[in-house]
Amino acid sequence: MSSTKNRYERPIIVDIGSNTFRMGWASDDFPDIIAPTIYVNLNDYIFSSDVIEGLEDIYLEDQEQIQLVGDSALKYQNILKIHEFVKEKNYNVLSKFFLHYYYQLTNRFKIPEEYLFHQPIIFLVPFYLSDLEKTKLQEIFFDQFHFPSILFLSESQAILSTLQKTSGVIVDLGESHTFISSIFHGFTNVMARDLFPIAGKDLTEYILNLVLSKMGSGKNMYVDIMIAKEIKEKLSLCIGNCEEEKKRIKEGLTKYDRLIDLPDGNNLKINQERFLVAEPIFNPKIIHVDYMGLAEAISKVIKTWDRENWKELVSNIILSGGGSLIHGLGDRLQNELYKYFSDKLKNDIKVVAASGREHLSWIGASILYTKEELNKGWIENPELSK
Amino acid sequence: MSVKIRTKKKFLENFQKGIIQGRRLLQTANHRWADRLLTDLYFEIEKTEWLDLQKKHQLVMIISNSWWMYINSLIKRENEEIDVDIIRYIDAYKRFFSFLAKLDDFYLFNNFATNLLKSFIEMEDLSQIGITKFINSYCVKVIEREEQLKLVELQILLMYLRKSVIPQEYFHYSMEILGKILSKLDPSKRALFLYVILENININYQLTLESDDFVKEMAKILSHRIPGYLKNEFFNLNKININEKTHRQVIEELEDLISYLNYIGEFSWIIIIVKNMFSKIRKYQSYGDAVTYIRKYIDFSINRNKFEIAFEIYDFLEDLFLYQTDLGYDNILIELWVEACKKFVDMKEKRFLLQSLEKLDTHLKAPQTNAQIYHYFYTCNFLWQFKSLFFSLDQKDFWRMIFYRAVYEEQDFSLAIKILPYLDKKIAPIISNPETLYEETKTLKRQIYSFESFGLNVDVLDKEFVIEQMIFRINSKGLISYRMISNEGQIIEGKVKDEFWNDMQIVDLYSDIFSDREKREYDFSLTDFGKTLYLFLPYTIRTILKKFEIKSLEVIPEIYFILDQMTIPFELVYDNNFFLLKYSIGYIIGEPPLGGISFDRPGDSHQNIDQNKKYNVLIIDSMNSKGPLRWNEKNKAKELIFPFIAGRSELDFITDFFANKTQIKNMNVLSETKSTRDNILSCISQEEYHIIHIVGNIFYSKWNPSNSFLLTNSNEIVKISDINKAVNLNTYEVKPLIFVNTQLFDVIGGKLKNVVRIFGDIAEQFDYEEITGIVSHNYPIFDEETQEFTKNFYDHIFRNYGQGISLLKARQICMANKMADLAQKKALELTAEDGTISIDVESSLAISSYSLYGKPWKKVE
Repeated sequence: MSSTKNRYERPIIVDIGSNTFRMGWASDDFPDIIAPTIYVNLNDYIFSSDVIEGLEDIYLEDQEQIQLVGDSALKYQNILKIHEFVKEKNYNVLSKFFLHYYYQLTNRFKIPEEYLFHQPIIFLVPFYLSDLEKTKLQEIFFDQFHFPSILFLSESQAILSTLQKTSGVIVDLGESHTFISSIFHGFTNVMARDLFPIAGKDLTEYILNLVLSKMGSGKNMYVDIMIAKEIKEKLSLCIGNCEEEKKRIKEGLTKYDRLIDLPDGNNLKINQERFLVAEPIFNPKIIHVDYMGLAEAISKVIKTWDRENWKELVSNIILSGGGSLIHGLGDRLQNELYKYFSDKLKNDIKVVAASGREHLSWIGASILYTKEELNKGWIENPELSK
Repeated sequence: MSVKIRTKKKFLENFQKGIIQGRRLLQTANHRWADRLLTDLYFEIEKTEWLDLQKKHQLVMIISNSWWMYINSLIKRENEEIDVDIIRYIDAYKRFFSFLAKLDDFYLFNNFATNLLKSFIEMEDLSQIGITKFINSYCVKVIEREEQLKLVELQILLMYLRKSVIPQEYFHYSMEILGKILSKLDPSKRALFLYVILENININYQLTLESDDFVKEMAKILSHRIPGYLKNEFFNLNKININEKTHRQVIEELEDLISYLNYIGEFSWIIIIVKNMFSKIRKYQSYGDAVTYIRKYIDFSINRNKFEIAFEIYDFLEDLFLYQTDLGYDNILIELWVEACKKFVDMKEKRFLLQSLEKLDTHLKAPQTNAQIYHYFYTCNFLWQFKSLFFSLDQKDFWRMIFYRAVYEEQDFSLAIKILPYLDKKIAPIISNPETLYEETKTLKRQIYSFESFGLNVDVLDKEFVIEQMIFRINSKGLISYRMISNEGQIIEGKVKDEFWNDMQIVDLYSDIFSDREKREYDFSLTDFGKTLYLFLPYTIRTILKKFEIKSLEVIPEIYFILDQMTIPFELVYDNNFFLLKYSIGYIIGEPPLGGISFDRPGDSHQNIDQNKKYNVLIIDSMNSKGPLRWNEKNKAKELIFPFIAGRSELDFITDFFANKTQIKNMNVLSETKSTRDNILSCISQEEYHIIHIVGNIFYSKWNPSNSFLLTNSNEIVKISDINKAVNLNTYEVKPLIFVNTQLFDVIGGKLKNVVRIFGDIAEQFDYEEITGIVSHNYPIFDEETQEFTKNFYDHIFRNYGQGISLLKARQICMANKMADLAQKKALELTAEDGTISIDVESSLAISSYSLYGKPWKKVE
């Protein structure tokens, strides 16, 4: 009985990123649920026209559900306006979203009704998450769902544990945030972290601009942000010398040429845009952001620590997040980092781009739980304690 | 505007691809891209100038259908339960209506919006906010189109659905409209008219069982909000009582009202009264009476040029008949729209003709029985005529029409079998044997619908009337006039109206036969083509031609065609024999002279042959055989840009031929270095020549054909207008015969294909008072036949025959020789076992490629 109870009351690890949501049972290898953190309002159409009005009122008046979340929302991405509740900090939708997938998870594992909402929750949070936001989450999970306890676990800590390291610099390139944090032998340093201003969405906008300016106004062709995002995710890459490759493309190099089938049947040829897209990471001024490049930002974070710690830190620069999937990013970053450290340290610089790095923090949290290293820091539901 | 078939094909292929892609996108719920793509396709159609109105409409309908099919596909029915993806459904509808609102034609928008509105009315717990928004947005479009009646209808319906009045702008406006029209009526008729308006809303939207209840309820709903000027009329509604006893009197009153509304110019209200009368007669008398009764208002409105009313009545009748059809091939519906088309054709009403044709096309489904097949093709023959008025016809229309004429008008079953593969894929397999089909259905001719025809009464051509000369005038406005002159000088004249000359398909067929392509599109011999061309001629003309028999070998009948634009040479018409072997034929392109055609020497007579008559000949070479040149990288040598090998041989031949002719007094050959602009023009303008024989390239200017030019060997340009001017300047009395053997290029050096029409444009530029005529040969063929032909032609000219007869005789001799050769050859191959076999002599392409511009009876004098 007690083992059954344990099985049903295993903690659930939740990672709500600005782009992707991951949820699964602690001690599992991989999250059971991966879904986009989006929602749509049923009456919030992309297309608006005053030619015929009132259809929403006639057909949707008695609809109880006014929002769709996650995958169900994605189905209508070309019809309804997509909202990202994490960016909007819309906690109503967040709770609805969580509930939707919580039921999906518990149904999949046939959790008896009496065990619903009995699982402790491990929340993966970035370092910049404010206390206010944590309190808000607590309120939802305690007051609304009545979960017994919550643990807010730092993403960086979780990522390091995946790689079985105690020291390192975590570079998490997300869709709406990129942050650099560092841990040395389990200790953090509030000065040794940075919120880098270029994230996935900026690169998407940049590649869209590149493609649009290439097309010019002569051709009757459309490209939208969704196509641009797909191009970025599937075809972008990082190379060493952009200017030289651009010149070679002009001279006839076809290595980078890719033909993209647009939904309307047209074809779009891209080449240099594939590697130019990643350049703002190393030179944010390209997109008019007055900030240093990622390599310099990382070096600054490392240099916040004492000089004798640098060696250990530079050899453990860990890439994570969906944005880090750009092909060749690790190598380019490593080369760029050489510029900011002395020759003595150069040989030690190592950028780790582990496979499956987009889920690294979730997996790390699961490992930490298995190793029983998550015994401290739990917040109990005050209602239940009473 | 002439557009290359390749351009058209390319456009249609792209359109088809776009539609397939658009439908795919819709099915994957990618409305945004689908909308973008389909709207782009629509703009593409709109900006394509060469598409005619009907084709544009057809293509727009394909886009509209794509949306409509998709919207319907979203409604899934399972075990009597309906499941709809509402989000997609709403968005698709919004985008669909936004597309329809872009169209000039309000009919589609109105139809779909009304049907959607009807579906809302059936809903339980209909959202009041929603329906108000819907109707009001619909009203915006209705006001834009100035559909006042519709606005009143929608606003009253809205108030009924809300069960209360919202005193909004549209409501007040609709009441104003009502007030205005009522104030124009006799006070005693106002209540009845108002009653009819309200009753019609009830009938249209099926709101209550008894219209009287509806009218009373509406009066109650509106009672406190009716403007003062309408209070009396609404109050008087109670006094209207329509029942079995009073309905006849009411109908009489309504009839008066229709006439009155028409007189005061308020005809847009007439349709509701017509529909109302129908419902009353149907209720108190019978359905048949009602249909017959409202049909009389079709002619009423057409005679008064109120075509929209006529169309609405047809549309209304279609709805009625649709209830009784099994959705298969329906003769009644087809005949209804054929009748509508005919009426609009007669009135030259383009907009409603187009809509009626669209309707007719929808109902022309694949026939099943032989009787239906007959009905189908009979209708298609009419359809060709109807469409010809304003729209370009497609291959499908062409072959259906030819098939009907082949089977039912000429009983040419062998040709019908040849046509079968070109018919619709759905139709061709149904017809196993055209002859059996004809035998089984020929008796139906007496029963099928027909229209009064004002064609030729062939009885006037009695046996004594031996036609000697005939003139055809075919203009682009659908008029064919003819004038027949007997050998005794008797004249018969007439006109065939509404026969629009649409020769695109037949020209396509002609170009295919005369092309040098290895793989032909059509499996047609020259005889098959000649037969098709014969069938292409209107029935009346064919009837005349049948009477145009050769009564005497002494008299060779002459046909003179006056055309707006050169078409297929009529020499190629085959009615058991080619015209080119029977008649002396000539053409004139453009308007006939104001004084008409003068028969300066009717008939042919060469009795007074002046054996000593001598001719002067000028031969002009503009073959560009020395230049211009271009570099050929493959051969590492320069080559001619416009080579004309056949022309070179012909020039040598003709020079040699004239040199040995005793009838030639003087021959001047302007070839090689002598072919300069000055030489050519001074010879033509200052010297006396009976014959000018030109061999060379002509560069055609489509903007102004008189600017088309010959390029001399000295690289100078001699325009057609220059030659014409030079001929005019010539003071000698001799009017030269111009023989032109050319290759045609456009001004930028591209070789032209439709050479007959193009040469027609060039020939039109000459002053035919100053020349005898022009014989043209526009295909680069030089062989034994063409040599023989040229020789025989000139021999007959020298024997003082008319130019048309000389052409005919030259062809006949060529054919006779050819036949003799063939017979000899065949005879050698035959064995006793073969028995009797027939020898089929096809007219050769070479001799059929000569045409004469000018009066065929003229002689070189």
